[in-house]
Amino acid sequence: METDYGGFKTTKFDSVVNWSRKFSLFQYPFVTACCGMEYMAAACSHYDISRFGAEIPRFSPRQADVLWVVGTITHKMSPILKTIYEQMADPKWVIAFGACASSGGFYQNYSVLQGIDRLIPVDLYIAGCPPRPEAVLDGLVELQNSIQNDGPTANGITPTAIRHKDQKADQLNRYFEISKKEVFENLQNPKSNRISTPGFTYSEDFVNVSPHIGYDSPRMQKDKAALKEK
Amino acid sequence: MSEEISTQETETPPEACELTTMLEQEFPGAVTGFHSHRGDETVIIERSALESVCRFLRDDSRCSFEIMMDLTAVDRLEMNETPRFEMVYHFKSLTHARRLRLKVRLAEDDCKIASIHHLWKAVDWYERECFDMFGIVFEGHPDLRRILMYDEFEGHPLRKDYPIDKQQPLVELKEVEERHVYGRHA
Repeated sequence: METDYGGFKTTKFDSVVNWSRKFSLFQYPFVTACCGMEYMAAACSHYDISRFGAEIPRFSPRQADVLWVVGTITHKMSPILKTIYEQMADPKWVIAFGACASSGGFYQNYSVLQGIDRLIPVDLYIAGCPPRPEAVLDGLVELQNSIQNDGPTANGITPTAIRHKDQKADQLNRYFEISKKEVFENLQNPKSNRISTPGFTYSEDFVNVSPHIGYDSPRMQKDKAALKEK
Repeated sequence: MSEEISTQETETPPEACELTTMLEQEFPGAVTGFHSHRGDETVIIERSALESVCRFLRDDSRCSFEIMMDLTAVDRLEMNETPRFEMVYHFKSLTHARRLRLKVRLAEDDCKIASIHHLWKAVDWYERECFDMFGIVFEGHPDLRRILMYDEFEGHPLRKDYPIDKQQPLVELKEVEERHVYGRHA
């Protein structure tokens, strides 16, 4: 995004500044609940958030860029969260990590704030209960893209989803195309004589593999009837 | 599918309920009901006898319940039972390797009960939680105030007539289109 500095357009300068901002995010991990476990997993060596530049957690809001709201926020906690957010200096971004921070999660009751976006503007929502570390890193990359493209005004005004709509649509289409083929191929048991294309049928060996469940899927019912006829 | 075990097989006969017979002897008239499941007994007593029964359970060498495990309440409004509240106390004895459940029934307009914090220190926070969630007042408690909810909260949320998802925000929240009706079955 172009800005005016005393009458001069500064595009290259902005992109350099945003580049440096996105790869040196100082995080404030506002961790309250179970999502903290997955935050720790993403931050530690196996998944390693420091590859993305967001290495050090700064436990003071004055020194932090990104507020990671990790876990359930109750109404009792909400004034504290608001104070922490207000103490952070601009430019700042907020990540709602997990289902409870995004929307209240599965707690719909008298004590849980139904999503922190009722309180403070949120830039990124990472869904999951808790989200896998790979989802956390994917979200972080999206936030970095939005910082690069939109700069400090990314704060709740131009959400990434709208900006990169076409890219997201391509990703989803690709996902649905490959999933049908790859899922069935990879599920093939070597001992079975099932056909690997989506039109597979259960063989005699596998049609009664879980009688204790007491439920037959439509595919299973059809195949059982077909086998009975045989 | 395993066969269902009938209650009669698991219920120990009244002669074998040691603690119940002991309490009935020591405190005549206090015990209003009891049942027992595979040797673990539940005794329902009168509210007036609570303090003396608890002191007996802790101090007497035949019982010696050193540990006060749990204190909670049941709101029986939706079960249409009166009296409305039922206090449930769980005790554990280490010397005799035994557990006991004590129940006390309280009416809605008179939900006060004696505090037993002078017998077991751990009861302090349990009683505060009961007060916070149900509104049951413990007479003699040194510091009866809310423990889980904030002080500005109005009402007692675990009562059945409190709409479970009625929120009382502490800070001003942004306006969001509310399509949800407060209450449990909305």
